[in-house]
Amino acid sequence: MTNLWMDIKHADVITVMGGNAAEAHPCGFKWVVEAKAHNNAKLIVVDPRFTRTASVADLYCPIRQGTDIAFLSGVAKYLIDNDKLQHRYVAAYSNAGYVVREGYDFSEGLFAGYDAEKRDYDKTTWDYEIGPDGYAVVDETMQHPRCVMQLLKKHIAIYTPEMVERICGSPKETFLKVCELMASTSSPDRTMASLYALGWTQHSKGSQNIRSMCIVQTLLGNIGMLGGGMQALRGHSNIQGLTDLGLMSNLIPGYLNIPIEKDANYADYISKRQFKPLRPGQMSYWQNYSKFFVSFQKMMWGEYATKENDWAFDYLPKLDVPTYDVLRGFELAKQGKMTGYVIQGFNPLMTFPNRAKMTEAFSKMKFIVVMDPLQTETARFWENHGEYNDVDSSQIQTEVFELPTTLFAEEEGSLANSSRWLQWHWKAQEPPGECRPDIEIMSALHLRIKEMYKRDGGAYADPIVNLSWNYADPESPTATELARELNGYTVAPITDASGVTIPAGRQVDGFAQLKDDGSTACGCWIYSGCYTEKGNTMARRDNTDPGNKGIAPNWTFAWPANRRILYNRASCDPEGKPWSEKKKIIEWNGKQWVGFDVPDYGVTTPPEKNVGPFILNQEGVARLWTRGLMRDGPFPTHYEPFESPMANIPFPKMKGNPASRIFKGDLADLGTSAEFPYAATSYRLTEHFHQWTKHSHIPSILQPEMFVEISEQLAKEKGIVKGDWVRVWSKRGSLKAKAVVTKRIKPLMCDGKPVHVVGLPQHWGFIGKTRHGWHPNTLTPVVGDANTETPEYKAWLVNIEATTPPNDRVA
Amino acid sequence: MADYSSLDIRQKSASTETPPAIRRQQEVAKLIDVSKCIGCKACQSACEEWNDLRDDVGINVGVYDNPHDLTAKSWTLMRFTEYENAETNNLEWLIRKDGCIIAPTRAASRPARRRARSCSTRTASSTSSRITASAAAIA
Repeated sequence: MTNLWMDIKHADVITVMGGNAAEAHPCGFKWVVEAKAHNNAKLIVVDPRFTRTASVADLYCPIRQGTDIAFLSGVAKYLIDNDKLQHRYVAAYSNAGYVVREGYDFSEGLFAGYDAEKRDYDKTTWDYEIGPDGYAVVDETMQHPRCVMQLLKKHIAIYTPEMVERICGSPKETFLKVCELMASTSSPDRTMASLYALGWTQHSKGSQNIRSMCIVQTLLGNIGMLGGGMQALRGHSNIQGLTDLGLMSNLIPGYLNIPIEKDANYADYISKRQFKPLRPGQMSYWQNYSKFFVSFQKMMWGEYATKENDWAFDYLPKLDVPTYDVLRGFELAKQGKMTGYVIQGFNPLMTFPNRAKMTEAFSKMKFIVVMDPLQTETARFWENHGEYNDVDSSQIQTEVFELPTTLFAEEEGSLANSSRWLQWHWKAQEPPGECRPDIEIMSALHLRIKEMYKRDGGAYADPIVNLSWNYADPESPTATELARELNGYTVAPITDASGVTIPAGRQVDGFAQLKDDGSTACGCWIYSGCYTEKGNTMARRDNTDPGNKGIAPNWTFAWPANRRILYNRASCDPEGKPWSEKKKIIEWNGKQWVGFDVPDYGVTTPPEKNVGPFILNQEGVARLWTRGLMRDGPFPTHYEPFESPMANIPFPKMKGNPASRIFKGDLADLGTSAEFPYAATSYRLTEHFHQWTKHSHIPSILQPEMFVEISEQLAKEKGIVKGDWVRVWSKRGSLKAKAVVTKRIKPLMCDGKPVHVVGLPQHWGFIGKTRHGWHPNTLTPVVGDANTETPEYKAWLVNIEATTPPNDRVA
Repeated sequence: MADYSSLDIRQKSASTETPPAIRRQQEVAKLIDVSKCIGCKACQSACEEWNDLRDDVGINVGVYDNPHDLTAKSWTLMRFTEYENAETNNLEWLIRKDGCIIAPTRAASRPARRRARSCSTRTASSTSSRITASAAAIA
């Protein structure tokens, strides 16, 4: 989230699109209720289904899944056509006036530089025109035909309300009501909060769905504002922590990158990342990249990371492909090239797409290790469970190790929530049986592997044998010891910006003290400040909220730098005065920035220096057009899902996102709308939490059995009666479930034809206390977002028919 | 409510016996604002836990209501009704909290008969009327 949960109470309009906050985030949703009750906020819900969130909305607008970009581009067009922009904000705080270099182009659904063979772009022309002074050229009048505002107008011209209705199936009148409500927040004293989750990310253009709303929010001047912002509602406890700590094949903690093969050495690597300002005087905060990176290397390898060996740069792996994401991983397993897998706290057999492919991949592996507090289907993928898991165990040789782990209540540590708070929690009870914390298991593995390398040698063992491991009990590092490493400490005496000398061996106060000369170590620069010399700031529990702003600065620790609202400099006009007294977060008092939150800015940087509020960006402003930073284009474009009930209306040649990677076998596994006419989507229910609560009795009472939701119209067409068994199948698999026939799903009229939506919730499997059932991922396609490889779980094709019960349910 | 502690409620809630009248107890009622209710069933879950009940894991019969009715082991139940409002042309998902009125000695054996009939339904057109006291639960 750019803001925080409590801040939602300040919103005047709340849009839930690409999510279902009431259902998936019921506790946080109370702040939406608060805004409605006490701030007269209006709640908009845009969703293919009339959800629990829609049940308390002021305005519900249906949309066909996978068409959010067309919808939001239509909103952006409405804002520009009707002059509903926060003009000064757009002029001062966005790149609307930046001139794009010649050669950039967009035609028939493709940007300049497309290579069909590689399904990728040469992005050379996706950049600004650079003037003789070395900076980007800006036309403040925004009239230059190649300036971003003019290009944006041209790019979204096709998304008229009529076109939105044809593509999305959203009735024109309802769509226009949504536009009007959103547009009402273009005034400087009104804001809209955008709440989204996996309904946007789990698409082959998931990142661009989010970009579309970023454009709308920037045009409305809602970023950095109280009650505004882009609120990514994270789907798991601590999934925010997962991304922060870089638990992906291409990341290092703090959103730094794992080097790629082309990065020959440290100097080469750092030169591509230490971004210089694109406009005079801008902060371009990534200029400090080397301080964060070197401090990370020092934390990892201590005395073995030296200036002479490039700070142990060669200890890091070098990627030969953009990512080793899960889709690639299991493709490699299927090919017999990935032969082992360590699974910590998730259930890939059920949660990754195309169950048949997953089973095949697991069956080819030599071993898997499952570390989990609960039984998972993955650990039993080899076991025959009748129709629910119909495998021939005698043909599977994979060795499965199950290592039971502790649950969160059986250990202490911190969890990072959607608000970017690191909240410390304490151990409540001892774990049962032989359960051990994940940290202890990983430590035991590491120490034994280290010992083997020391004893037996091996190819380039240095990164393993030299890894720092300075814990009181090496077999069981404590959460406190790890937190202190994440915060960072001085290795040698340093002098900070104010001239104070800090001796070696002290916790740093924050990332501003980190150095790139080897004198500091820090595990995750954005977490710096979480465990200082003053102690564990994550354990703070003072809910004092000066000004009743929903900002309690002494409640836990928020990254970065305990800042609760990102980009909060943008809550003031260029002169440093809040756009609205009511929405005040910080202000310039003539000497410094003061207010309720930590300024996202130089505390003493005066407004007249014209430093932009988006300090991480080289431009200092928000990007309506993203240069070469997105793989699939500098503007979002409407592409249909890879499996879609209809052709791409504006760009008929486009099949799916042209920059999404898809493996050969998975391409062959895509179905057509002739065979599979219905638009399927998957989601969760408030009664359950993913694959966990099916092990718990009470949630199993509340939603005991797998079902699918269909409209009354489709039910009638197919002769399906409420409570009947139905079979749902795709090109990749088939499942059985009960039919919930509902008015909450209605056929969408898209381009004159009805599109039927089939909804599949995702909480059942072949073990647990609920009735046994299937997971929707039995059916889903293996293709991901062009930028993140997040699988397209939200939009694919199925067929449906009435059927007989599974064998174990025949009376 | 100031002098009314949660343990008093616990002592009284769902019990089949009248607790000794050591001190005067205040009468309480539950006020449920269904305009704010999202039907998450947390109350239904809490009722099971609080009263140490465990109903059977049932089946789905084509609706969100589970179990399908109040039972001797389910004293709270969320009921879901899909209503097309002819006046506004809007669909409304009416979510209603149903529960037995706890009456000593009978609650456990015959809850269905004693359920509160005053529970509200919800219409989007009349927000103020959407707040309803569902039951004077504790006497």
